[in-house]
Amino acid sequence: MSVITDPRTERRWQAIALALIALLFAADGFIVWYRSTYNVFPGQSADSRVHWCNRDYANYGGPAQSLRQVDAAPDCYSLEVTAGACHAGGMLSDAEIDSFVADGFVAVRGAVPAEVLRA
Amino acid sequence: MLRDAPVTWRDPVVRIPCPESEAFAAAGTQPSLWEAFDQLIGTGRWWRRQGVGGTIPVRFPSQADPGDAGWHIEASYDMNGGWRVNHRSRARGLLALYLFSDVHTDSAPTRVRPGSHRDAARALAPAGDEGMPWIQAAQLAAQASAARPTSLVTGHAGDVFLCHPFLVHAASWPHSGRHPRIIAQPGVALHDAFPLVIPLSPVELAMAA
Repeated sequence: MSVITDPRTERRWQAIALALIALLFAADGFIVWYRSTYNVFPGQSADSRVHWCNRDYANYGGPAQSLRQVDAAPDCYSLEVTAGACHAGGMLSDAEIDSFVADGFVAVRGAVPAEVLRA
Repeated sequence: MLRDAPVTWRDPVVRIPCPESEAFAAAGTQPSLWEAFDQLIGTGRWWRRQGVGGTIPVRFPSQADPGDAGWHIEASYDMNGGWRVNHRSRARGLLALYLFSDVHTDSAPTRVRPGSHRDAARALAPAGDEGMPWIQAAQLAAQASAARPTSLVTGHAGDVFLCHPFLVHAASWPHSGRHPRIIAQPGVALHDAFPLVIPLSPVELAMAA
């Protein structure tokens, strides 16, 4: 048994298939672009809290910005440390680093040993 | 001028290039300091110099104005023969103050304005990556931080103060002590500029706050 297909119907199905494939490619492209621009997938909620180096950082909210937008306006950063912890294995304590961030300097007492000074 | 011969101390300050001897190489490569550089700047971003570098202003007991005690920030990079500073602190990760002698409140300690690095960061931001000439940046930072309190960099020989590259500071006078005051003040060089993208290092966090 054979199926006789109307040429117009066949062309219509071909057009629909091509449109679906194009739509699929466009959707993939959009997802890739969105992920690289906003660092999250479409629909995924972006947490304003960033965990780094045993600390949590958070912004004050506001509209989402792309990395390029953030990079273009570094003076508009509004990050704050929301939770601190130790910097694993570091020479400077957490309190010393906080002091550096706040005051702009930190003293490392006895950093150069006496035998080196004598030399 | 001789360190132990007061009769030779004619000028209030003499600047000498920091020697590149083995002892200074040991002083500048202390693991504790390099670890602190990693913590403040970020691992892999700074130049692991095999020494201290910079100059050493030796300040002698004197009541005279040394002529170099104005408030300023350090210059960062050279462009076409002129020193400049930009908001990403291109080429400069920190200012390190190595105390090679005991420094007391009466021996012309370096003055610093706590919190002034934030004022300087705000002053530099409008100029973007292009930055501005160092003298202009220094004047803006000094003006912006004029209301800040002053702290003195005092301590014992061997102490090292790690300062934000935008910290406003100044020498002081007179030197009423009895011994020359010796502080090396090299920069910790960056391979590039601070990217100012998350994750932010403590130096960047201070710029952005």
